[in-house]
Amino acid sequence: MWRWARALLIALVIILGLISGFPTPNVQRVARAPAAIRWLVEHMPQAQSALLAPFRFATEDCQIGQRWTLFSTTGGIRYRLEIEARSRRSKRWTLLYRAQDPEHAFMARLLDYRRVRNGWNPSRHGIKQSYDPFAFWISRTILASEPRFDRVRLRMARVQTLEHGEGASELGDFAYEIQHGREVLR
Amino acid sequence: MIRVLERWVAFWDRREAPASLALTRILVGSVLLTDLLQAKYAGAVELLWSAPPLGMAWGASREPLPLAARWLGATPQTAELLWGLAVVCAALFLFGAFYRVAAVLLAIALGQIGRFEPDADAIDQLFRIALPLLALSEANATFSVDARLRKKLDKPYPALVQAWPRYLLILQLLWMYFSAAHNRGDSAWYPRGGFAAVSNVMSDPHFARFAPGTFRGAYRLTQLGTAATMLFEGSAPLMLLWLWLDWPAQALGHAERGGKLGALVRRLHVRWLWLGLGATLHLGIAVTMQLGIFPFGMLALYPIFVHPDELLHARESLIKRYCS
Repeated sequence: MWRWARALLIALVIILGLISGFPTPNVQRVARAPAAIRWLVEHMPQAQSALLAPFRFATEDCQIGQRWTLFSTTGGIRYRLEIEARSRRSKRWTLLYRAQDPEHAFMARLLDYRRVRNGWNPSRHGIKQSYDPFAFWISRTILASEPRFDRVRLRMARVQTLEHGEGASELGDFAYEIQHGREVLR
Repeated sequence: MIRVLERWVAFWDRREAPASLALTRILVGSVLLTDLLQAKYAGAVELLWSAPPLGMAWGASREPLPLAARWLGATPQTAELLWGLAVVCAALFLFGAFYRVAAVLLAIALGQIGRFEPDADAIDQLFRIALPLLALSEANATFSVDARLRKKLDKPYPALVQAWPRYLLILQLLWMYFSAAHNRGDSAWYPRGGFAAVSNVMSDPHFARFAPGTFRGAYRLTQLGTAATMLFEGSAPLMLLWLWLDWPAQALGHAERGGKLGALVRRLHVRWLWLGLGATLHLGIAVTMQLGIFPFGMLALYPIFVHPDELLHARESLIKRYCS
């Protein structure tokens, strides 16, 4: 009896995994496809959600799913995190940390640790929800330990990936800027 | 229909020596323990697993609250407690001591950490799936503290254990690769984009280990790496066929499978070629990119692709060679 129950449970797990991981192409990609395929693509996410609804505890409580997106977008515009602090007296900004810059490596051990980097590194959908609390935390930490600074600024230098492995060049502008002053210490 | 069901039930009821699962347990435990210790060394525990404004764990204050946040609060103390629980359990898991309890608690701790930190890596999600499977397995039946204790008490574990956790882990890993391949819409992974993806990642300041442009002289090699990655991941489902055709039939007293195709697959060592390609790509990632435990975590699961009898045979051969 147990053998049967286990085998059927495994079958259920495999089927749910396949439903969860079944690819749902972008509707724009199938814009020229026959109407039936467009209808299928449009309604697929709803069907997946409905079928998986009774098992939402697995996806939400256990944070698991079966759609794996590893480096699904590369190249183009990328980012490079910079953390700066402003002097109380001169009001000049000092670069403390810049990604992949050994000369500006303030708290690099912490900031480069993969779980922390995940929090501040933008994904293909843009900045993550953890970026704001990270900015607040790092600003407070810097201002608490360095009384000579009165403001902390985080921003991402926009970087263009060059073709044929030539590397990347900074575009000279920034995105996702956040500034905090000494009020964060209150 | 009944016959098909019976075969399905019999398949998931197979037994085998525990060596592959035990080796997977040891490697996964080592990677997890290293990663958790690195979190402490980096001073990241409080930052990662405390709710804002004390940390960046935005998932810890998201409704419905994770159990640990509901019971203990999403404070730095809870973060330390979760980390401590995970470290102790990872060490016990690695050595196979109090295995079942340790593995279940570790799976729960990793699940809670995942709730606190929803932006985590793919490898964290993979471990959240692999850990419960390993917890349900008898991966502690050999190379473990538990096995030694049971032997001393004259109550050794059975020589053969359930094989289904290994089979499910195989399916999981192959699906992960295949899913990664078919979810890539970026043309840089394909010929029309000049197979530039690996080179692009190596130019990303947040992931590159070396200054962007360092490998411009080896651009062709990176293109080859991109093509090889897509070939490897896209062909992952075929590994089921290679595993079916290339299994230790002689050692188990069975006939070889697959006729001429089977003979060809075995002669060309297709299964080993696929595994070797995967290992090479992951090691390449480890050398050229800063992705934390990702390549090592993936490789830690590779023993599941090796039948335990092959592992034991390799071990005996090594011992014989060493003794002679």
